[in-house]
Amino acid sequence: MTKKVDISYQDAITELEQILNDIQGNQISVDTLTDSVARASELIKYCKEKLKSTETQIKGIFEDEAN
Amino acid sequence: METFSLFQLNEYIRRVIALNFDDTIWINAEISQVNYSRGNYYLELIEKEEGSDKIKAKASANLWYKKSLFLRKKFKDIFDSILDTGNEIRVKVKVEFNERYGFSLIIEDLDASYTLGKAELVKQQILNKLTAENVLHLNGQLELPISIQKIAIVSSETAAGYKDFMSHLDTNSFGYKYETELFQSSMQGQAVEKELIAALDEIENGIKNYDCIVIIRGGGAKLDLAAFDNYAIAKRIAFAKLPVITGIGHDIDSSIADIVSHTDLKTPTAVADFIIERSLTFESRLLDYGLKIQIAFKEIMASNNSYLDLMQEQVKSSSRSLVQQNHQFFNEALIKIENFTSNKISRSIALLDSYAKQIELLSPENVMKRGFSIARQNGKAIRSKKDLDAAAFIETEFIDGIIKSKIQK
Repeated sequence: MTKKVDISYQDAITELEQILNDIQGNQISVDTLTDSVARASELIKYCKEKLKSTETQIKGIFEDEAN
Repeated sequence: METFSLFQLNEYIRRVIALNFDDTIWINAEISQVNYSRGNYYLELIEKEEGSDKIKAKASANLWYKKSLFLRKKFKDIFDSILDTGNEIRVKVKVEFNERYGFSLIIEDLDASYTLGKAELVKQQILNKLTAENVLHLNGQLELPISIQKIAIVSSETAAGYKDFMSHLDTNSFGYKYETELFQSSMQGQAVEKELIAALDEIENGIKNYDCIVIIRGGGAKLDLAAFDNYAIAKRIAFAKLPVITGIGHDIDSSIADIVSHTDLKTPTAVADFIIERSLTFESRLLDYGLKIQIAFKEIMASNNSYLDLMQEQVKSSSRSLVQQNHQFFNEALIKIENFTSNKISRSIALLDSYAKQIELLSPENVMKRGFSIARQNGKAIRSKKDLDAAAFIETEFIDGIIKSKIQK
């Protein structure tokens, strides 16, 4: 079960780092490993999308300025 | 006592004067009035008492048409400036007395450098006073906006300088638009002081906000600009609430108005250029900021992207290694279990073997082989002689057979 991503970019990064830390520190049981990895990959996807949309928006702003 | 007629008297005076003043002489005086009629100049010269406005001498002086042409040729555009009310002049005159028109001085020559020098002296005195009052750089301390857009102009609508300024500003090649408003003032002569101060008052008391005040007029002879070497004007500019930019057409020397202003430029077009250039600087600075923001933005994007990629890689590899570690643990456990069980089994087998051996050693057959035999009576093994029945046969079993015997004793 993965939570729906509805958090800020910064919070997503923080959560991602926590998950990675837990995995690397062997603090995650195999029972929850799949969920954790799924969550991590979801967070990464979310962050990348957020970056992409920011990029598009900012490009839009600069293009508006140029016109 | 003899009585003379007026004419006789005047004739006498004329002769006395002509006798004593057969040569021209140089005199200093101040012009209090100038009238011009049919090519002739009619001046009223005065001399005041030192340090006051009280007149202690007065005389008319005429400059006839022919002489005026000669002098105008000699002094060019300075000529008109010298013959202006309020100027201190040094003139070469012929002293004349006419029976009908009375006493007058006929101007033969002018000393321009004297008038200029006097003006310079007055200017210096005003400058000293302003310096003592510490107001010389007051306006210069105001901040001129980076980009000037709303301009209050003090000039004369008919002045060439004003037109030059407007056309220069309107036709700038960058397409900048400026909001301008003209506040009328004379730019020459005695009226400048009153009108220029009134214009500045009007600008400051109005509801409109301007970025700066521009005072402009076209070029002129040095003495034409004497109006701007004025204490009241200088003080008003110094205390102006807005930065004042002057472009009052001077070549070398700045007027006092220039000195007290925020920015002093030589001509109206130079003022327009200055304003346009500021806009250009401002615009290019904005473009530069935009570019820097774009570059910084790209860097942030790239670093975030690569960080996410790194995280993805790390999550992948570390979760894989976690699974790997678990695998290994189980493998090791399995091996341990296997080892343990096989040991246990082989130890049990050995134990059983030893038991079997011991049991075998104790079997009756093996016992009898070692020389033991079993005595039985009536099918039962006899363990004690008390159990014996003396009448019955005893059956004794040996390894190789059974014998029957009888008890004799």
